[in-house]
Amino acid sequence: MTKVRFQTADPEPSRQGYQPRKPAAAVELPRLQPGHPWLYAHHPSRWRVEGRELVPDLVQVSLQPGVGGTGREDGTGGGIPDGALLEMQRRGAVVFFDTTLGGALDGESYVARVRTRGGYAWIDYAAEPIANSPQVRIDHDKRMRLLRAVRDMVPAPEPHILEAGVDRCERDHAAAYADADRNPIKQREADRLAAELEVWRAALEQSTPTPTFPTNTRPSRGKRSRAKSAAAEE
Amino acid sequence: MANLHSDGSFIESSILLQEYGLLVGDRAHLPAHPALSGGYLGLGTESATVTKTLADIGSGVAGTISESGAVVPDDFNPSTVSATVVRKGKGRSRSDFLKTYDRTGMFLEQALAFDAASIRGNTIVGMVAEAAATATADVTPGSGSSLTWAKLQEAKQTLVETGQQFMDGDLLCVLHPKQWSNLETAIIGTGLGDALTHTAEAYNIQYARSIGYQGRYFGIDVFTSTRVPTANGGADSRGALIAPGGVVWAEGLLEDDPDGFMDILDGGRLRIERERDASRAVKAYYYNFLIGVSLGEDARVVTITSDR
Repeated sequence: MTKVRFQTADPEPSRQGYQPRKPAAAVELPRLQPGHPWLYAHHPSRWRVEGRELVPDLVQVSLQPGVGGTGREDGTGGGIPDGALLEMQRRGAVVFFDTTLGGALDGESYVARVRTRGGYAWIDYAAEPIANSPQVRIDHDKRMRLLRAVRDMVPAPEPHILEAGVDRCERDHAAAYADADRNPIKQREADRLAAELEVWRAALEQSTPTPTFPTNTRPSRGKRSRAKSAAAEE
Repeated sequence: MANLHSDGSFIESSILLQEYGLLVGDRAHLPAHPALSGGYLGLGTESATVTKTLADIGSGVAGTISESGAVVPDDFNPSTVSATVVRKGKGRSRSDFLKTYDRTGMFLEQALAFDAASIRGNTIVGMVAEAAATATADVTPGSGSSLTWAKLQEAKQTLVETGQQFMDGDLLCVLHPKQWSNLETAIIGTGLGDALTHTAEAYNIQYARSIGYQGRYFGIDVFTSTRVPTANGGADSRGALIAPGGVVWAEGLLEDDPDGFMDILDGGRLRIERERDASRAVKAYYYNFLIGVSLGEDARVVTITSDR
């Protein structure tokens, strides 16, 4: 009786025997969660430190139909979330409808569609999908380019926002520092927070110029007395 | 029970109805949670926007009135919230030879009910997470840093500071599974082990694991979903802590069609249709429901951003 053997994917005879393998396309695709596109928005109160710079903390407004007042799909995987955008603008947020940020990203959009297992995923301008992985690789230079472009388009943070940032960072730093002597992870966290604190403090100092009080221009009594004596002698 | 249909669909429908009803009646079924039931706007039709005006009932204190002084009534402070209802649907194809039959040869209706309830629950959890992610307040241990219990507690404290009133069990937290696993690791780091564990009631709820319920900690019911949106270019996840009224939602009811292959479950909130393809020995199931979710009161939501 002829034994039925597994057919290998390799047409050439192989001494390695049967090698189970997945279809190439499935292996090469990233395993990102399929989802919907979004618009970036910025609340005036949300700032963070990245790359030793104070940058806007961006919020993703989902364009998933049914979320935030978004109607049916418009054919691109999303719609326009009228309700959410109106509400955010009422709260003083800036919504970036132009996903190219006026050409600041060399004509690229800040949100891009990539094929993933089970559909399409949407990723950030600075994110690079990794084959067979649910993670993305972040291009730091592109990330900072995006954040700097947004920073140039929004109002500078108010001093009270920076004060709150300093307070929060000081509190977190103190908590990490308390355990830093016996926990290397906490030591690294304390170092990171110390560097962030410097950025927050520098930004606060810049936003609040040193107050100038009126100086007393009248000479002191001793100086007046000496001046009077000198005048009398002359 | 009489089998009125030659393909057994009557029995299938009866069991399905019962099993699905049990699942959605559970507190762990997300829309039944106090944080979301408080933001229920009502019924709408497909593509309709359901709007509701909420008054600040129960807030404020009485003023001191001088003798013979008149009390001047002030208006309730209303806020208008809305959600747009859309159709969400999913199809499932079951081969006759799929190994989900029980030993009698029947397809497990419990599995179908569980599948339908899970898919609707997963969809709603994901929509809640995406709607909540636009809130103004945020707590974070830093981009790329693991979420800690201190930060979860800080999120709760932020709600207290903005004057939100809630009790244990009113708060709903939706996190990415990675955020949740970081919290679990943090428990180990404290050496407390299971000392921070959930209440006995929550322990029972865990058995209804259709929608990622993880238990109650510090009065917060924690759910996980891989649909939690990204933040900081994809390096982080942005979960959310939600007090009642922080997220609002509306739904629609679907009507029955007397063709014998359609089941309307939970009073019309979910429709399951069956379709038989004899040439392929396959039966397809289609789930349809109408839902819309939006951010409600901004001050009642705090986003939680940490490593993804």
